[in-house]
Amino acid sequence: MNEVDNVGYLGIDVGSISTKGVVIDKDFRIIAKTYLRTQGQPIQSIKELLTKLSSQVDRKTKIFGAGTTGSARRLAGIMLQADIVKNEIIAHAIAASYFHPDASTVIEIGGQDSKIIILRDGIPVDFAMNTVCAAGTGSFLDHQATRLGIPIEEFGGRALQAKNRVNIAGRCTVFAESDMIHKAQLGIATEDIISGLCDAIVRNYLNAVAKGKEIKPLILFQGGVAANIGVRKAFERALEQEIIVPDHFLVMGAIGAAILAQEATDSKKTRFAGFEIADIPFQSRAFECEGCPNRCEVIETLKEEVIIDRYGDRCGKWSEL
Amino acid sequence: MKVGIPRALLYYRYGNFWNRFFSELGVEVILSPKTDKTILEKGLGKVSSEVCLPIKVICGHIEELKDKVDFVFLPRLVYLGDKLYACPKMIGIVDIVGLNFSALLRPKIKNDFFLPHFQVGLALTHNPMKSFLAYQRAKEELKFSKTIPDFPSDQPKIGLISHFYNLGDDFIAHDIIATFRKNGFLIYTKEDLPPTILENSKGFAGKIRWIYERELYNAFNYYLDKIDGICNIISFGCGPDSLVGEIMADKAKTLNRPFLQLIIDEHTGRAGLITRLEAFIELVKKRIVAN
Repeated sequence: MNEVDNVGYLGIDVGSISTKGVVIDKDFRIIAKTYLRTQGQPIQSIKELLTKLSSQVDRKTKIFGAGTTGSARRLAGIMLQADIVKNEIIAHAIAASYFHPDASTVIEIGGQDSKIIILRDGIPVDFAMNTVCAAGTGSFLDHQATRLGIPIEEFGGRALQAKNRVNIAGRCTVFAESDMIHKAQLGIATEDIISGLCDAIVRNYLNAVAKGKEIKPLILFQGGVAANIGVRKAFERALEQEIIVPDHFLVMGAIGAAILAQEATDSKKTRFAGFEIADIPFQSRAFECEGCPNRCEVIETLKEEVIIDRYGDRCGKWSEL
Repeated sequence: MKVGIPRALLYYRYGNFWNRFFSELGVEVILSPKTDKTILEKGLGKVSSEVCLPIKVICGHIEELKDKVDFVFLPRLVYLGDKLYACPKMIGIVDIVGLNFSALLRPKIKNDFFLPHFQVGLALTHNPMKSFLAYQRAKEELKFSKTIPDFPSDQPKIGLISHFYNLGDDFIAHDIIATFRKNGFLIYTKEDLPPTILENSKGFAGKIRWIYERELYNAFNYYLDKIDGICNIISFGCGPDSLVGEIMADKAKTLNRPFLQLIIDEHTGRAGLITRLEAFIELVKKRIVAN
């Protein structure tokens, strides 16, 4: 290791709604942090993220390891030549137990999915994820805020101004929306309806995602929806316990990926391709293989028009490059 | 004369017996190909969206065979042993298919295998002796003798608790089995256990009146303290599984054993499935290291 270099580890978390990235130093202090919308274009947002992160990092800092997580972790891992590609459940758990070693429960609600992670003595022992339905996740809240003309940042705060309890059906976003409209047409105050929605989201989460799990303190609340004070308060009401929102709740997955990158490169040189890949053209495309009736959808990634990765085939005839 | 057998549901248990029986009868068997997307899509178009995945799959296989054979062989398993029933959809699918398609051979199995099969043989050959002998020769394929498997201590072990028609069908279970194998796991299923364990009617198992649910529960119970984790694969819409799965989840939790329930249907995306599997594998491995 060169004496003049400051050590940095890069972690990025590419979700369906947002792309998050951090650079941490060798003591896991955050030296760069960025959050932006994926907008259905993960390649573009990964590049943008890298540009923004590199502008926050001073020249003397060198990346000694890179990790990726989130639903586009594989794509991100290929672009970055990451040292480790890890699922978001483990990444979130690692970051949670690093900042709060005594945490027993992690509630994570992101743009499209929600999960619960059970930790015992800092080790993840059980988890669950929402299965077929995205009811009560960030994108639904976004949609409702837009519909009511309230900026999403203020949405949760409005719930705290509620004067009355209103019951909103939370099992399904379609029912929830029509229930909200119905209640509004009865003349009920918007604040009361938003507060009812927060309660509905929490009820749905506890009944569907956290069903059967033992929710012990300390409880952490991470992911984009943790920014919503209304939902946090609704959790506190339902669980009758304090809920802690970690300082870096938005980027916990990315921090977890960076910590994992540090472990993965312990005595090894990083494979990381450098922030410069932000300027290199990448492309992903899919085709249906017609080699057999399975008709697998094969996804390939190209870097400067050269195929660097293929996957999705059951037989392996395409994925072996 | 050609008889088509759908490669689905009971085929994964009685396939060898049926192949042998028809070959002894001298009847040509056309087996539908392995499930693929095309077959599944054919099935989806034929049956209510509310039924479970394996029923949709078998409907696709029947569609696939229809125009290629004289008869499709679709037995109705009602009960085995002491009135242990097959699931209602398995019993009823014969009637549903029969509404639109009449060239069905549908022996009704109520514990006894001989008579319904003898009658099928008779209908096809008009030769009672031939049919009798075909059954006598084929019936050895009905013996499912298994010995208790080994549990080597130096390898991670996973129990895949699911119906044979889910695990046997690559289209449904391939990714799950492959992911465990890739991570070095030995795989144990209920089909690896002898009948003495699967048919045990003591304890809670005695209250379960579905044949295969009792087997699943007994296998789960047997493996629970011998292996490192249990993965219970359920097809969405399976009534019996949703009840017994809940009981298994509860017991695994009480005894603090790693347990993952995966619910699959035709919409299940690979990405979410792999994320869950990867996380579960990691939890199980961390536990092995910790112990």
